[in-house]
Amino acid sequence: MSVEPLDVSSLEIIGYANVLPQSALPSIVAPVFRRKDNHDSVLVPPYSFSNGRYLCDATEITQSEFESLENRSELTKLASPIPAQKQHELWVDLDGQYHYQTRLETKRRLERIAAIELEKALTAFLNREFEKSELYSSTVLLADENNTEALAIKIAIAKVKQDHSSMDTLRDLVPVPTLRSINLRVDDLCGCINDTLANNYQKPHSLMHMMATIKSNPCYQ
Amino acid sequence: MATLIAEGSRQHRPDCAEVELGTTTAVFFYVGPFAYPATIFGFLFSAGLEAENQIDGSATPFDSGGLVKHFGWPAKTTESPKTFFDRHELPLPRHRVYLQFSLDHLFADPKDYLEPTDVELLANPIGLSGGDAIRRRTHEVRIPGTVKLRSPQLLAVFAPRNRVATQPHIRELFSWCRTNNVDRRTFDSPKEDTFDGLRSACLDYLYQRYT
Repeated sequence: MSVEPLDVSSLEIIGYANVLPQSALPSIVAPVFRRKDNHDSVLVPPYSFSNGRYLCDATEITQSEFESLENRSELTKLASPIPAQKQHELWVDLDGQYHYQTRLETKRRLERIAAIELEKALTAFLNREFEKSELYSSTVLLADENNTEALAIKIAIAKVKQDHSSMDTLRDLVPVPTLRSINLRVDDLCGCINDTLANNYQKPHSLMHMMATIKSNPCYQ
Repeated sequence: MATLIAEGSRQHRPDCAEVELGTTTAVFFYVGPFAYPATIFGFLFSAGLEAENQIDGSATPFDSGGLVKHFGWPAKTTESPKTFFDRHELPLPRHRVYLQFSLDHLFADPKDYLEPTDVELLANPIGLSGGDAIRRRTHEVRIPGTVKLRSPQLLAVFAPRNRVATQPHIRELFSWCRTNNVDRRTFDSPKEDTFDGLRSACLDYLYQRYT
């Protein structure tokens, strides 16, 4: 049943309401809570938070129902409970390890992952390793969903592969105000590929040179 | 991603609601915005799906799963959830007559039926109490077996933006929808409140399209 608002300090986290494959990581996840003073009161989504402190409208299930859901692979149980704290988020890293940190710390960690993976995605793209580039770009978007550079790389891969269907679907995800700059960026990335091919027997551009060339274009500022 | 499959194809605990009510072979739908369980993907079908399944399908004017553990009713001590369920089962698509009656007489504003808030009903003819208010009042449709996803009855699909970009089968479904004029709605990926993005996207869509 739906329960009254509860102060998160009275709760502990015993799992999260998802089972994530590698292809969905990293990801912020919705915790499954349990009352500290009643281990048979497990609180699952959908729910909301009031002031980041009060858990509202959660559905209450028993510990045995929780275990049943785990057996049906509908949620993941943590190795040991974590005390719940206000303004914190639970997230799972690329290795499947979970972390419970403040929102700011989580944001920073995910941005760092996005930055590292973006560099790999661009390198792979310029090396025409499109499958790898697609995977790295996906990781970027899972860590930072508004990363337009990763989306541009994905559109560029679809364009190079002449996969017009994917290209159109991905373009639909671009906010209208940034569509023009993304399109220019895609053209630029595809141009880099052609340049790389043309210069195959000349001195190749270094990755950082390539990135500097791309970033110096005022369209992307 | 081609079909929606009945939960009965998966392992069930003997005491789960679907086993007790005899609905394990059904695919479940809400006649309204997404309400339960927590998920990040949604599919909106037209009422034509009910007409196609009026022989085998059925409906109840509430979420049947809530009967076993969450809802109460005056005779609960003497009447089993299965009996209560059977007593309130309605045919497809005729349950919509009752839905229309409900919208006209049970809600101060018919739009309240869609809202994710616990509104006070003007009357409670079914007599349910407790549990989640939205699940108590939202009609549920059950269609046995499987339901084809890529069909003329599919009106709209809802998914987090980054899942469309990163999951090939989701992107492929969105591409199919694009080609077949099925509406697509994306939203920010969920954070700690998993459900709000999907529900808001659905409500926005319904209001935009039907009001």
